[in-house]
Amino acid sequence: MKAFTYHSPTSEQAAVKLLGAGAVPLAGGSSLLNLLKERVLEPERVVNLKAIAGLARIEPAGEGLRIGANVTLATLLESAEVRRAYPALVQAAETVGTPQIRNVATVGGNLCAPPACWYYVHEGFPCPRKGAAQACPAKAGENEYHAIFATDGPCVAVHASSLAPALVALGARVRIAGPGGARELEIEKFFRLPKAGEHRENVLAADEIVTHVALGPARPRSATYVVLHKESHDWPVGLASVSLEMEGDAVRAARVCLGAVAPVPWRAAGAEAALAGKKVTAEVAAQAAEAAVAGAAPLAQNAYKVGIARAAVRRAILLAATGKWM
Amino acid sequence: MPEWPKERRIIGTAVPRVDGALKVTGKAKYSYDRVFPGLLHAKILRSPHAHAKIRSLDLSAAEKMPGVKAVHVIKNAGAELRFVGDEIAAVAAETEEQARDAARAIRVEYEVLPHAVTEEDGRKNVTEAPQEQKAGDVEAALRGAAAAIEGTYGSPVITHLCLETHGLVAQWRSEKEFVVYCSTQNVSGVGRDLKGRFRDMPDLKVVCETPFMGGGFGSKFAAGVEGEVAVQLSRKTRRPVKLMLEREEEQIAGGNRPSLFARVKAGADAQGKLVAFDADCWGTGGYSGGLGQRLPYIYAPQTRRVRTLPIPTNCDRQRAWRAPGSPQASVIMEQAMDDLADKLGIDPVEFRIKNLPDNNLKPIYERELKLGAERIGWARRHKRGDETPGPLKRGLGCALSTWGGRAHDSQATTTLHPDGRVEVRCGTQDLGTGTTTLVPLVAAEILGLEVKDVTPLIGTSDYPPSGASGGSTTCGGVSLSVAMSAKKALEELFKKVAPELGADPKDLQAQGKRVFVRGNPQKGLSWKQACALLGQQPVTAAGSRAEAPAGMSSEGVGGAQFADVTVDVETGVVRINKIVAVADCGMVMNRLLCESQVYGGVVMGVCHGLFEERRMDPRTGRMLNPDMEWYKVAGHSDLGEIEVHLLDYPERGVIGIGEPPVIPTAAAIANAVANAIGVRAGIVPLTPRRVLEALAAK
Repeated sequence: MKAFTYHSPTSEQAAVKLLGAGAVPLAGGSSLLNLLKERVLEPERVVNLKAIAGLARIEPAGEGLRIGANVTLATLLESAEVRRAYPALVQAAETVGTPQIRNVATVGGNLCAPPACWYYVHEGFPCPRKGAAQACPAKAGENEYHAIFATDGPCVAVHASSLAPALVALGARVRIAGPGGARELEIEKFFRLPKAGEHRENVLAADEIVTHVALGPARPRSATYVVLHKESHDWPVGLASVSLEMEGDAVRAARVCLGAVAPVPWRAAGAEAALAGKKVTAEVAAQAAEAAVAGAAPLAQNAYKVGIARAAVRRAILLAATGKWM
Repeated sequence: MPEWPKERRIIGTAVPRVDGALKVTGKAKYSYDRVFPGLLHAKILRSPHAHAKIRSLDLSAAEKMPGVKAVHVIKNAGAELRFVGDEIAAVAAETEEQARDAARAIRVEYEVLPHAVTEEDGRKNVTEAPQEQKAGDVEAALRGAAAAIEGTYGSPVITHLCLETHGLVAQWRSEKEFVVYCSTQNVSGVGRDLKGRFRDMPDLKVVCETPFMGGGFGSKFAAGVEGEVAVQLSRKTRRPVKLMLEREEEQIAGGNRPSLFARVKAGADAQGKLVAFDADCWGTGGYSGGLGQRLPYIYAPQTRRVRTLPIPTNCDRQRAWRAPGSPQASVIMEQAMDDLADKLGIDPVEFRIKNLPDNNLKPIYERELKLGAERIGWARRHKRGDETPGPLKRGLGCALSTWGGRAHDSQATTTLHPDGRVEVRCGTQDLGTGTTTLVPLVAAEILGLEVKDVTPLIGTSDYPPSGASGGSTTCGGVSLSVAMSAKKALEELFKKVAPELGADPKDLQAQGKRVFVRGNPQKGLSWKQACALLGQQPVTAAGSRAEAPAGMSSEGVGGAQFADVTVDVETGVVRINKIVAVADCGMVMNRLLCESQVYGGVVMGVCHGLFEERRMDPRTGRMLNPDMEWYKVAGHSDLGEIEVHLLDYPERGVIGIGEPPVIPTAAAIANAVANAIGVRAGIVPLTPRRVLEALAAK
């Protein structure tokens, strides 16, 4: 890696001042360290965020919870309150990496994770996401693990966060600190599709950080179904998070979000519409799952992922509604 | 010279690793752990191009970098670079980071040449006809068969992925003595090889020290380019130099197993006899070629044609990988066998038994198949395609293996000290197979002692030369040389003790830590008293495999494995419920570590069947997964239950077991998957993509 200076500020504002051009933030480091070693990133400054006071807590806020960005996935999984109120988040988090990775990886870091793309993470493959002039090498290359939605954009990597689809389904909000203070936005608006010349997968400026994720009222009827080739230490080949608000035994409102299928967490409005006002049956779940994958435009090597996404949505719906998918 | 004792006290029992505690507490010093005062770190600059010529090489900037002490050129201007990762030059510096930065500062101008890194691209450049071996008229035999199948089966290139990467620490002990702490499976050979690199210093003593090493699997027979580089840099700087490959280097330049694919046509007669086998094979062993083709495997159809096309590619050269050629042959042959059995409507176990060659392994296979079938619950196997409703389909499959495992050349010495201590020296190494435990186990058996009473001294080329740990030959070789040296040492001891007891040396016996007159245990001495009669000098006796009676070891083993899997037909995910491995290795020496070898083989076999695949980017010629993030290997949760059964055939003598257990696992899994989902994917690893694509093509 290229030599850098290391900073460990203790306040949000001090951190923000150190960030900006030539700097990268460090949370758990499970992604960053690899990118530094591969020289995908060659920052002048590495700014540790873990010393910022108060960002490693899970605390009650309004009708829900506020989760600090420095909370590790292991801590998140130990929280009885999170487990009770937001099963979709727990089911997503427990499939990330390995116990050792979950011990260091943070909620904020997971949301801001670099793309899970073997072209991006290795030196020697210039790509637009790294600021190179070349076209996305995955598009005409080895794209078995890449996107099946939004494949007409400049980058077809899948978003690497397993927590993000769950948080989108749960309707979470994100708090961002920057030079002008803090702002909050719906988590869905935090992510954005790569555009030519703008290849970040979220709206963070170089001198902004995620400080908290806020969750609303408990969503016990929520679930995440993750499809992994290996049982652990693997990137998902498909993932779906579903949150249902029920009225009697019918769905009043549903939120459905897919992971591992697009450069951002992929909200499935079609599936949500297919569920609204209905009693969840196997047939309804299958129809919603079909709606979720409508419009998929797979690449040469990943048509198989459409079926996986469909299965993940159907199973997540059934899990959220009934606690079992079979 | 008698053979193995009829009544074995220790041989065949479960003896825990004598160095187990050292390993699990981190006390064991691997090459990676060696640190010396003044240690320099070396890094290699590698080709970024899959195929290129070096136009020019400029070291000046690198030499001026902070901390740099020496630079060594591996390939000069004009040299051809054959793959991404091919070595160009190396630097030694005070820190690893400085060495890494300095290596990057070497300026190279390349003439980039066209490359091919996939079988598909490489094939376009092959002008030779395939190699062909045939017997009879296979086309006529296929036409006349009662049932015939066609299928494409195969395995891609996979890497060795040793937990400890390749490399060494090189150090001058004096003007006349040079030592390398090298991660190798060939201690005696590496010592000899490196001495040959100092032809101008005929008096130099070169020692290779490898008390512990973290896996080789066939990729660590030589010190390699990294050995040459570390030695030269250490010679230039006269300081110890550490050069251990990083994971990415290990993946792109630390060894790989060639791919093998085949388009197969096979036919059987109405009685279920395999009458025709026609295989069109291709694969790549990198720039060096070589596929280690072993088809037809185990079953020997009378009429056959096997055509093989090795495809050179701009990838690192293949190296021996645990049971070279056999897992790949097994995946092809055994899947074809199941397809044919299903087509004939014959039970796959029965079909295999019908087609076993009529030799000494046939009864062993029959016994194994019977036991394995019983343990996996073969009786409940359904016809191809689980008709249970829902997405989860269960299936069973099996496959066989065979291997040689003949004892290699080995020498050892046994030293008995006047205070009763026993040391056994042998220039072998412990690849992880438990050789460190085998040495005292064998010596203690012969000397009438316990394992803890014997100190094994192995892992250095200073000791009597012994073979490389390859071909599953170590257990046989080392057992024999140790046994022979221990027997001779005991005879020397008997000569000293006999006058004391008023007996003839040949009437003496050592047992239960005593030396006594055979048939009269009271007439004897304790081991310590007996050794005290040696006087001031220890006695040392040399023994070798060459001296051992023929019956103490043999070769040729058969194994059978069964897999029980569940396949999710909506996600393509395959889960192992259970693997039953029945293994034969002649006389079991150490039941515990023998079983460990089988477990380890099955684990690697699961990786072959479900996870491992080297992925190359055709455009750049670079490996896409030179890491442990995208290069997938099984974790504990991916393995299911593994059940091991060892058959013990003491009358056959020692036969190696290191390699055979890895051979049939992938094929057994592939057959179980086809039995579950009703279609044949054919190519392993059986990833969600391959499973779902096979189902979609149904």
